[in-house]
Amino acid sequence: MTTDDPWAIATAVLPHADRILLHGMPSSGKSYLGQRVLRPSQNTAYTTTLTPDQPSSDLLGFYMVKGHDMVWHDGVAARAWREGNRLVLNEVDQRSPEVETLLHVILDDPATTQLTLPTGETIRPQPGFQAVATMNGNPAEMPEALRSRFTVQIHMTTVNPAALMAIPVEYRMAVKRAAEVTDSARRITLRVWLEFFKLRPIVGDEVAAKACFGIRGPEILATLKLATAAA
Amino acid sequence: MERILPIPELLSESPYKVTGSTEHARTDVVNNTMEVPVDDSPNSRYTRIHELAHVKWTPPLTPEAWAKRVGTRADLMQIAEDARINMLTALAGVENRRKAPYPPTDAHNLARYVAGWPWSQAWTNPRWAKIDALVRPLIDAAGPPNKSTFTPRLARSLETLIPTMLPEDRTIYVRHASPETVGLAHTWGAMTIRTDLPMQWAPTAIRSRKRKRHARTTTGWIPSQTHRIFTDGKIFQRKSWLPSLGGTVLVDLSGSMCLSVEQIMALLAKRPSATIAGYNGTGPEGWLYMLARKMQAVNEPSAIAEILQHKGNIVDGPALRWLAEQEEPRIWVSDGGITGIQDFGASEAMVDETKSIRRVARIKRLDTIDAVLEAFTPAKDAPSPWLHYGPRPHFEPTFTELTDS
Repeated sequence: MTTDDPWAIATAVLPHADRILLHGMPSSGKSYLGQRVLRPSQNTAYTTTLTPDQPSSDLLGFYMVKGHDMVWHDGVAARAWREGNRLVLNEVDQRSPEVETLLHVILDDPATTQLTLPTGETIRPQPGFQAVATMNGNPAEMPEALRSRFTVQIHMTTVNPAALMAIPVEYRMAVKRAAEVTDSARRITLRVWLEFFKLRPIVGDEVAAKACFGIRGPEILATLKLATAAA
Repeated sequence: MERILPIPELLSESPYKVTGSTEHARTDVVNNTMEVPVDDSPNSRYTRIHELAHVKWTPPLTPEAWAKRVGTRADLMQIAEDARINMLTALAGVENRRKAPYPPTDAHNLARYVAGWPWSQAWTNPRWAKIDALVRPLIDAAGPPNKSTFTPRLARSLETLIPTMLPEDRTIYVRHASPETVGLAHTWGAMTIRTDLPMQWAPTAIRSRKRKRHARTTTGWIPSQTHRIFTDGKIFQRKSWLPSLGGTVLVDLSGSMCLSVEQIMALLAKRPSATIAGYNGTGPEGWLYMLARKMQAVNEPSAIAEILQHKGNIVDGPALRWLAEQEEPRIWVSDGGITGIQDFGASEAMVDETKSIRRVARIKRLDTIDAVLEAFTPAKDAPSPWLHYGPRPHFEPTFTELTDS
């Protein structure tokens, strides 16, 4: 395994580390990785996408009316704690202040942390619990209290090699480079490339290029022709 | 305007730094930088494709280092490499040049570089044929363009050829000639307005074409537009007839537009109610031709063919100033390329000037005559494409603002 490949590093540490932050360019496959590469003891990954006005009850839990009673319903974080499963927090840099405070507890050391629910019950993370967060922004802009909870932080500078397998082999490397361009004004994300190569055989090159790349479509098509031309 | 930036990384394993430019297009395959125009005009599109092809095929050497290695001149290496790139791009099935009345061949293209002629004059300049005849065998002798030996071979052949050229041909041999090298300043040519082309009245059917609209007024019987009481107070509606759409169309008749007589005649037949003018030039001067005005249009194809003989732009600036004073909507049919005297390109100040004229006078640029014809024939139930060109609405407030006092 090369230490230059963030995907290889992430795949290697995911089954073992407890609190992991995957950050980097959009549409590179971070969330996909977080949801798919599970520990052997885990049977599912609870996934939530954090938003600026999200209540903490989404993570912790809330009361529901059931018949004539009020029944407590665990949120995704409480369920992941109880079952010892994985909690995937997408867009962690978009969290609300309310959720941020709760994350301090949820992402604390699993051996020592605990939380008392409004029901009076105290819960602790069961063995196997793991949190994986993803974001496009810069982790340095996160408050230190939250940032320090992620004991493993991996900068995903390349696109997910597994996702590239859906691109025709003759274009694969060219598309990889184009999706990894650091200049966001020029970059075409892998998600757009995947859609283009999906539409292409159905609607034709020109329509697919126009639909996916807009005004740049004809030139992207011409560049792809050049890319596959004899050297 | 959306900027179109190319992605050389599709062709190169190294990341590139790409910047936009209004004047230059260049690719440095050693330091991985690219400077290209970023607008959507056909000229800029083909320029970007040419520069991308350099990324694909040009060896990672500076022209100077490459020329030193093979023992020839760096400028000739650049000329030969440009020709090779154009040939390879065409072989790859990528369109990289305008569709010209006489499609330029590779020898033609190279002859243009050798002679230092502007593109638009290359296929009409009588000296081109002579130089083309000299260059074509050199291209054939340089071998297949996909071999790296092609460029040095052709450059060396050109080095041998140039001293054998006639003095008048050699004096204009300045690749990327700038006005400074021939003692000129970047400036617009002198423009003369020609109104002497033979015109005739448009058919009555077209002259009488009118369009219906609903006019809103402040007086009437049934207040059907009550929501307007808060803006202009015109709460009544009545039918009215507007005269045929007018407006002004200015057509760039330079060689780079590759216009045919038939295309221009089609435009005149379709829209005699608009004021239509064309312009082009040669050397230090240019002309603006009145093609249609006040329901009269030029009806002689031979007259159009005659004015298409001049292949330079030369007077884009003065022509746009003329357009700015005409009736709205104002359309400029052009590929976006502008030049001053001698067709030497345009300085940054000239580019800025045209931009500001267009902005202030609300001039819309369309790439082709076909685009104008499409604008004239909207779908039956489509909203009028002209609506957004009209004068900006001015609302007189008819209510008193509430204040704290």
